[in-house]
Amino acid sequence: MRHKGQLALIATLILAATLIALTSLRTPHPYVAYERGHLQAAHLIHIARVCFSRTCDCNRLQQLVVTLQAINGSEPLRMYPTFSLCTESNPMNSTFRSDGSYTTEYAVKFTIQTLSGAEYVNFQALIQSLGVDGTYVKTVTLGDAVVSLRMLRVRLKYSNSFKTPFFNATVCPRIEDPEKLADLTLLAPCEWLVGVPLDISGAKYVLKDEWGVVIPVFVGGN
Amino acid sequence: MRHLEAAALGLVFAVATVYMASLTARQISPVHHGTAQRALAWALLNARNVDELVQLIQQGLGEHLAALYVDGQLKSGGEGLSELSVCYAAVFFELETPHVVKICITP
Repeated sequence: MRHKGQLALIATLILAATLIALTSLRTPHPYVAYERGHLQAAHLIHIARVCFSRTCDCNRLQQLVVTLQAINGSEPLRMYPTFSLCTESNPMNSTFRSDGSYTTEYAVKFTIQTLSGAEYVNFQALIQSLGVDGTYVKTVTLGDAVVSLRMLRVRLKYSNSFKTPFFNATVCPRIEDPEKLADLTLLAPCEWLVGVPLDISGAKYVLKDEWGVVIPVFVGGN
Repeated sequence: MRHLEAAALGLVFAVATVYMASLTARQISPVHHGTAQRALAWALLNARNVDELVQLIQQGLGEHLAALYVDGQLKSGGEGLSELSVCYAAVFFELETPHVVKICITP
């Protein structure tokens, strides 16, 4: 009788353990739809750069965000809903001073709507002219012709700043000339001496940074 | 009868051990989620074109990269995918055209 009781107890234990084990075999497959993190912030900085690689306005910025959200529906970007907000009506804003120097600022603020509230990603590109350093003449070959170009030497400060919940950074991107006519010398971190042709481009000569962001050099005394 | 009891006790012990081991295995902190996400973010911030993005991802994740797809086409890996693999995608705009680069990594 005692043995029968023991056996019944062990049988119950086996049954319980087997049932628990069977339950554990049914692995859940959760799908992470949204995720806070570095990737969403990097995406927003990337689209800000894309927008500022040519004339960027608030509508175009919002369009890029919408494209990103649409892709988020089918690919695992895991982005929370996002909105872009131009800090000015025109996100590419130039201010000129009486001495001919100027500051160009590109600024955009993205709002990420997370489950616990809003988070922000800020992108700012700042171009400051630090003064004109005179003119000089440069001889270049354009096609078959050898021409002399009058060049204006300008000191520029150029930096990009990112502020996100995950990382903050100020970087000094490399400046490049798509036309290969300008002379570019790095003086210090973020500080450049640029020589741009005076007579070719009207009021401004356009350089780009290594990500394609437009850097206008105003040569016409605005 | 005693042999039967010993066998039954052994079975209970084995089932409990397997159960606890599987629980432990499934509760491993999913570090690879963070790794994949940060690696992709870093590559996205540094790449100038899609080819460079792919190169930076491969450089950053190395052998942890289980699969890499560009615009839906498998570019590398694919064999090491398992239930524990996690995938993230990045959208890279090149000349206004969005390219989707998806990576999957396994712990």
